[in-house]
Amino acid sequence: MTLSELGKFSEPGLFILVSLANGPKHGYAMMEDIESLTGVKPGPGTLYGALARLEERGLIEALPSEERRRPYRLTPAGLVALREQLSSLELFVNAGLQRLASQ
Amino acid sequence: MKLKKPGRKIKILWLYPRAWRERYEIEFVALLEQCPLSWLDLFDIVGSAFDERIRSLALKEKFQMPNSLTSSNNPILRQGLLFGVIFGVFMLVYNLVKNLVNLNDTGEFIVNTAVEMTALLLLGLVGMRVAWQTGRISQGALAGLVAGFTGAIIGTITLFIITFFSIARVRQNTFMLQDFARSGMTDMNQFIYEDAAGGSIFLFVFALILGAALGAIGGLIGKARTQSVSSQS
Repeated sequence: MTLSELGKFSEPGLFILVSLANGPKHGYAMMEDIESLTGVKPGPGTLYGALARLEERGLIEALPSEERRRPYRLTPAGLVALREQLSSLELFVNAGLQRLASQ
Repeated sequence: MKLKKPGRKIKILWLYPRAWRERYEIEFVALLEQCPLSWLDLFDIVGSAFDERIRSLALKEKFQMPNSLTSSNNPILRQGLLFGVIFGVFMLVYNLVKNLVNLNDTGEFIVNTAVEMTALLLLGLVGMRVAWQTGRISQGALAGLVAGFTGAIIGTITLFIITFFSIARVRQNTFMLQDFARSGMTDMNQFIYEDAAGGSIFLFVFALILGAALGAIGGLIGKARTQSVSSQS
């Protein structure tokens, strides 16, 4: 599946997948991590909207809870989706850079 | 894997559908308690709750395909669309009369009051009926919202069709001429289209706010009626 199926949650969905790529995290840790990666802190509603959709599609899964916080991790399908998404972004970025270089 | 209920309830979470709350409420509250909330975060939560409501409705629809929109299992959409279409038909008549008939002040007052009363009645009634069927006020409010939205869509489309095809007639309308003279604009056609756009925006805001509010009020009455019927039986 492609993340574009998530509609307006595709970008926060990608941020979540990237954030979980180096290990499981709970909601607040993801927010902080995404802010450090992108410079923008996702809103709590947006974060959980994307989280719910990713979980529904089997791209992430919940781990046993720690107190009231529940960590999430990438599933094998999530890993594949993240690789595909990043590869297609890489192609896009390279094409853009090549066009700029030819200016 | 049951989680401990949070000590502090975040009231705004009632905006989310029940199924979402059952799955995510505890960890979401834990997250909200960890980070200070700004106004933007509140808007984000409200917007996201609205998305979840729509998604939950869409999922219900998906799993109830054989019964389609006319199913009594989905009173929000069925009743909301039905009352919305009736509201839309009133808006069509209202738009025809307002734009194509030269009314005097009394006629204008009667037509405006009639459409306002109709909106109040229909949007309140749909909330009442749905809450009576489901026993939930929130379902009544949602049905009011669906009815308001549907009516506003029909009202807007018909207004632009009437304006587009009858602009020569609309240009002769006494109230339009007076408003145009007051506006200081030089192009009357542009004024008429801008007036229609402004009217449409107002109609959407009016219909959505009123739809949710009256749907909830009607829902209160409908729920009380359900409770009184079940306590009698």
